[in-house]
Amino acid sequence: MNGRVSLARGLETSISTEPVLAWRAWALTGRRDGSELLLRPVAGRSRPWRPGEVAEAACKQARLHAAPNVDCSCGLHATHEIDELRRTRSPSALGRVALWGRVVEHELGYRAQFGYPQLLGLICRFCFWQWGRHGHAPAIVGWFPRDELVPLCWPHLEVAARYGMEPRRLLPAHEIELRLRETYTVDTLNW
Amino acid sequence: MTANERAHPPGGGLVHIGRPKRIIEIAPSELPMPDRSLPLPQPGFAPDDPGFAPAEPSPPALEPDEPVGAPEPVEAPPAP
Repeated sequence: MNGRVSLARGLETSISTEPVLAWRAWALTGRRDGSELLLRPVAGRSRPWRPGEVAEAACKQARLHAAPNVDCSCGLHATHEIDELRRTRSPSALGRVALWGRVVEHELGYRAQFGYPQLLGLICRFCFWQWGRHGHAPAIVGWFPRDELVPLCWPHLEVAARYGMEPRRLLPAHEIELRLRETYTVDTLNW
Repeated sequence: MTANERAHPPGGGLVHIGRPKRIIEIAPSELPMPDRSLPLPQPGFAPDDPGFAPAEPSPPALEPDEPVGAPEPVEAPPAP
């Protein structure tokens, strides 16, 4: 802790049996035929959220403490409001996530020890960055090198191609979204 | 500046969630995730597919000569 006073000292601690629900965005990977879908954190090379398995936080910055640590930025991140996620880098899927275990509540969101998605939907990231929940629904999912899957609406597919972001393959968005929900056994995100 | 603010500076492309307010220790009575004892549905499975969920026990079969929906026998009123 380098002699600094821990932020945890002044924090209230409460106990609950109800998981917290919050908003979260993920990157998405899959095979060129749209199989083996996997939700991944949008930043860094953190572990993916595997279907049917509890996602568990681990600290990469300091392995000497359990995640989430109040004085660190580790933990599974989620936000109170959907609009906070509009600054997320490269989101492909958006959803409501249940969080439990040790949860640090922040002014605008949470950092949690355990989590699992409850509702999932695909988003066109360009629409989401500009208009939040009021953007177009994605029409296609582009398959890119390194198995990255990027849902896009028709207008933004054209714009992306104009700037050299050309998918190697196009998959129907409704089919990938259905497959994603079936893979994680979750419901549709209605927003 | 907190570690969260250092790691996620405004405009850095990652979500900044502000300062910590409180700690909640949550021990749910039931995990908010699919039951792992049940097989995960495969793409293309219909909800009523036997592979989706264990089949419910079927109701006991009716006796062959039991009329379905027949009215209960009513005793005739005594003759005046």
